[in-house]
Amino acid sequence: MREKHINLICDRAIIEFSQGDKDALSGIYDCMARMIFSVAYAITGNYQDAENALQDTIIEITKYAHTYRGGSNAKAWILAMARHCSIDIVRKRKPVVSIEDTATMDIPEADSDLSRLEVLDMLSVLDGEEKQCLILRLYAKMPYKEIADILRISVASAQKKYQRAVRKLKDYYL
Amino acid sequence: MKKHEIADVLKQLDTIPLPDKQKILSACSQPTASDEAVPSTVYRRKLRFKPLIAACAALLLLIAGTTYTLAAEVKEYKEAVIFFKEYDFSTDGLSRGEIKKVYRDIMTRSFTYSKTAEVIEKSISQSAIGGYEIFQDDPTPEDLENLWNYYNGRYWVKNVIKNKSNVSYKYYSEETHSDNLGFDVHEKSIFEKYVDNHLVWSAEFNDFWIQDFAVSDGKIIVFGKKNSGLQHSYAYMALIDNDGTILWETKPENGFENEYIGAILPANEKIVVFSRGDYKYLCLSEYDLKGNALSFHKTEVGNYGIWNAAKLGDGYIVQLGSYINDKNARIVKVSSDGVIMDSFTYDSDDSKYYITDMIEYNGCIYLSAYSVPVLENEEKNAGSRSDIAAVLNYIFDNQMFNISNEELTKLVRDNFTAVLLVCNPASGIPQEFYSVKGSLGGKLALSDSDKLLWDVESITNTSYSPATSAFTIGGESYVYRYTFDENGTILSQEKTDEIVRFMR
Repeated sequence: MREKHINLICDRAIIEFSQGDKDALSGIYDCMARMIFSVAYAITGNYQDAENALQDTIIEITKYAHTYRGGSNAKAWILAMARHCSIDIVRKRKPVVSIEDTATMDIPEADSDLSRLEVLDMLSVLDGEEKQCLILRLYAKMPYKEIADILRISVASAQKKYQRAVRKLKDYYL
Repeated sequence: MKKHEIADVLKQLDTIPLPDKQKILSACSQPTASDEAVPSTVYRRKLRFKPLIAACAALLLLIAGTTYTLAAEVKEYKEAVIFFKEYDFSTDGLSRGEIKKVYRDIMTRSFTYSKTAEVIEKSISQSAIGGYEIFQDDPTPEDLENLWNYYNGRYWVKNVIKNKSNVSYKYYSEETHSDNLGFDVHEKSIFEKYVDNHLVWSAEFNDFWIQDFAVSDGKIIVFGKKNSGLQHSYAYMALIDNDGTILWETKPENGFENEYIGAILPANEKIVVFSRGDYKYLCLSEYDLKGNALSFHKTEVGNYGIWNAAKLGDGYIVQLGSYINDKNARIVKVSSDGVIMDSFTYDSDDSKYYITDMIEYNGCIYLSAYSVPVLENEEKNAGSRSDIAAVLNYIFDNQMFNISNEELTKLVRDNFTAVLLVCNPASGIPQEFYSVKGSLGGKLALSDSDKLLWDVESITNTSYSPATSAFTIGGESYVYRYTFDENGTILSQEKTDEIVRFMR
């Protein structure tokens, strides 16, 4: 689905939800669940947490839909929430593990099949924000401006972190 | 590992099964079952159907079912029409059934019905004209008049950012037909000052083409060049008083056969001139306010044009460019006496930058620029026209020589992003930027209240000419103006009444 279409549908759905149409949430889920889940998985590093982050994100959308400004970038708005929810989950872990270390955490048994995915190995090479920049840029296909907005960093920083991530992976897989 | 390989690996994320939708949504504020379902405690009378009653009941059910179906069809059609209106989708050429199918296709997120793509594409082509999150109005009569002037014998018409006092300047040149030579030659260049869009004064120059100007304490320094019959070209500059009187006009005598002025910066009681001599020298000269030369320094830099200059601390930042070498963002630090101290470029892995203007503001250098995607295959650079190579390649690869203006405009807008770079005050290295999709970075200026004004040229309409040898793309762009404070924070954005030409 093209980015414009996703934005169009989510934009409308968020507004409809804020106006009382509870079914609109299903539309947001259909459009964005995969992307939210993938971003969450990349940040949290395991299935259970990514699932929780997805649920938290949907709950956040219901809580803050009334603050959404129609016509702005719905996808970026949602992914920013997904990122915050994922980071919150990582922060609340017992024992406390820094976000940067999440990539090296053991993947629970339930995820044993998933642990064979090359993508997880690849992401483990990167630190927190590099990983997020890479995912948002190459997976979610977002421009630097939007990535910067989501990560609350400057556009140049987003660009640098992304480039550093690509360079790291190039060096690592030489 | 290359970028596309990384992207391929990331696609593995799509293979991870998603959690159950209902499980996720059930935790959110869904309508409760009791809102819609019949309460289980409702008393239901037990019916004993005799055959006749059963037949009547069946008939009633059939009628009710048909009525319900019809009502549902009408309801769905009405919803579809409202949906089309809301998103400016056109129903032209679509039957009632097709409208519903498109509506259903979008609402169910299937996007499998062939008409859906047509409807959405058409809508996007229309709405794509808008700038990044900015709504754009149709051209005004004044805009069209401005355009008319472009097409009717006035060349190099250039509006300059208005300041708070609504002072603006415009210059253009007129040509006349030479019977001896058989072609049009420069007749005069005219410089005009406007306040509140009313002409205050104008000054005419017969000796040279005006190419640009700088303002200093209400006085205007205009500069340009004159071509001689010996294929030489000479730089010219002139000072106009704030009442329109031409105070002096001079031709720098630096010993070059070909010289042009790239930028002029007014300084304390002097004028700093950056020029290029004989296609290889970067020159810095200083003049007093009476037009007398005070100093001159030249440095051989090769075949680079001087595209912009701004003050940086005690020295200057100068942008050098070369269409031949496809170098568009080469920046040099120059000391106050003209010696090059440092040189760097601004580029990234996936974007190529073209700087269009620069200005000093609050101790920083701001660069107005635009970026285009880096070409996958550098060989396909469309004859060194890298900034539209991606568009031309797409047209050629797909044999789209009859591409409509709508489709082309969408392609062109996808290709360009206006960028505002902010340079480190000490090193001059660009640090961060704002960007606007579908646009080119335009002029930078300061307002009366000392705020930074950034013009962004939002590409509005383009057309493609395969008839020209260079496969030209031309069009018009609306100018949007962004205002920033000393910290680089956006204070406001507005659509101006100005239109500028887009030509590649």
